[in-house]
Amino acid sequence: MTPPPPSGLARLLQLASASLPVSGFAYSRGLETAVEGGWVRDADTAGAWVIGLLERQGAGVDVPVVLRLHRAWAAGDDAAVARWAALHEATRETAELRAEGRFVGESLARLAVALGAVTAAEVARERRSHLAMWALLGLRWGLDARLTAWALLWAGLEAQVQAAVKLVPLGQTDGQRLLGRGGDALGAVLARGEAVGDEEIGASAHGLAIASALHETQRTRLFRS
Amino acid sequence: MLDLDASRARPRPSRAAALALAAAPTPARAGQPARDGWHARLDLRFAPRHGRTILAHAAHVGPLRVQRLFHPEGDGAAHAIVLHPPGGLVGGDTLTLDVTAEPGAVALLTTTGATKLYRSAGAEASQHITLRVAAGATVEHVPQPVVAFDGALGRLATHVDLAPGARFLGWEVTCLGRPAAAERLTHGAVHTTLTVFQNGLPLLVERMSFRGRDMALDAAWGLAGHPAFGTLVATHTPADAARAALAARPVPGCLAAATELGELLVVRVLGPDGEAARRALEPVRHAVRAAWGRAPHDPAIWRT
Repeated sequence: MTPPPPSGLARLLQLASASLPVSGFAYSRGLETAVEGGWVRDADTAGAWVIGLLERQGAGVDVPVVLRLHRAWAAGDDAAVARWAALHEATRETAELRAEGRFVGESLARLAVALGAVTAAEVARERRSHLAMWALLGLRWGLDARLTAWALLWAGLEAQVQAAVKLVPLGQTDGQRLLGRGGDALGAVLARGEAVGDEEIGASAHGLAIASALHETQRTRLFRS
Repeated sequence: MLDLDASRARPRPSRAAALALAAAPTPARAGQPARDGWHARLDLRFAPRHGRTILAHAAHVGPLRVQRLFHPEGDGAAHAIVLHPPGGLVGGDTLTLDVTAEPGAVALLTTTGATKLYRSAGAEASQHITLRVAAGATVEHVPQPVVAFDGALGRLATHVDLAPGARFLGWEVTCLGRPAAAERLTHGAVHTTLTVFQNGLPLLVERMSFRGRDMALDAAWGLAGHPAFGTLVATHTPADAARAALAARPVPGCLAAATELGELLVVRVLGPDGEAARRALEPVRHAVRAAWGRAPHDPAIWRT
């Protein structure tokens, strides 16, 4: 990986960070129900949930799609942007996971326009796609496709670890340990995701789908649905 | 059910050997000769004629066919039982089912029994199902479960293409290993794909890959130790109707939940075996039919 333009990476990670209300921190991605159901109950089971999904869906869906979106934006191929954004949403298992993607996409689009990174016209069509907006910002801020994908994985990991710290709950040390393990896995996830062909994109998880679907009707919850 | 053409479907020696191998408790023999598998294909086109749905076109290649069409619901709806006399797939086999329902057609498709994916010494078996449902047509695709033996190498793909206004209910249930024999997927690989498109846009792309001893078999986010998994998709049905149906008739050992993806109801289930997972989905099917204004009706073949 070539050294990135430092300001560009910093900007992307800024958008991904917990200190701003633009990323997926309001959503637990099924983790809240997994904790409620006792499937996730300590640092080990939280690690199996977070790292397992990162490896499976990061490599099977998020990396291959965001790489293609980055290339499509760079080529000015609006039809391809629309196609990959639609495919990504179709791989999301539940209404809640799709709502998260739309909410984060809208938030990113709004902020990117406010910051002058993109024009309102550029984001008019795909503003409801988290990955399409992410790829566009990565491109505009001078990050190559791989680094844009890497930062997406990191952002998703951080949001999940923070949810686990709140919900399980985990101590700060366990949270840091989990973030470290996830961070160590990102290179391999990126490499596997790069090898996925167009017709192979998709990595559904039934346990996640059921947890997330149940969360949509869970009576009391900390996280959005 | 007796298939009169069974003699034509008699296994060739290599197939018989492969089946025997699949049933044997000994480990897979290395170096089984590569062979071209059986390629079976069935094309069906349903259309309304004089108040009932008929097969306007039916063509088959190899051992895959509809023996006859039933109209058991009294309203002209056609029930087609898809027969695959060999009953299972060995490495190299391909099954292709291509179904079109014209406007006004009302059709249900199911199978005579579980489809078995036998252990393979190297070649992959595949099943490709395409269902095209026109506006104003109603299709239920409710096959019996697929059972993948330990060591199976299989690719199962179902593609649904819905016109706006098409009514569709479909389920896919797969069991990895044979729970009755305490068999799990310790080697081999099973890939499943379920895609639903409308107007060329994807509504659902569900793709799963399981290799022997896959982490996803036991992970809470994956199959959570359940051998069987299934997905039901349906149009024109609110998720709350499905949730009520699941709550009213839970099946022991099964876990299921419903969500609504745009116009599409999607229900996932995990279960101790394929039959249980399918039974867990049956109340949802009844709820879907009720939402469509159709009376309850279960194909008689399910009770045999």
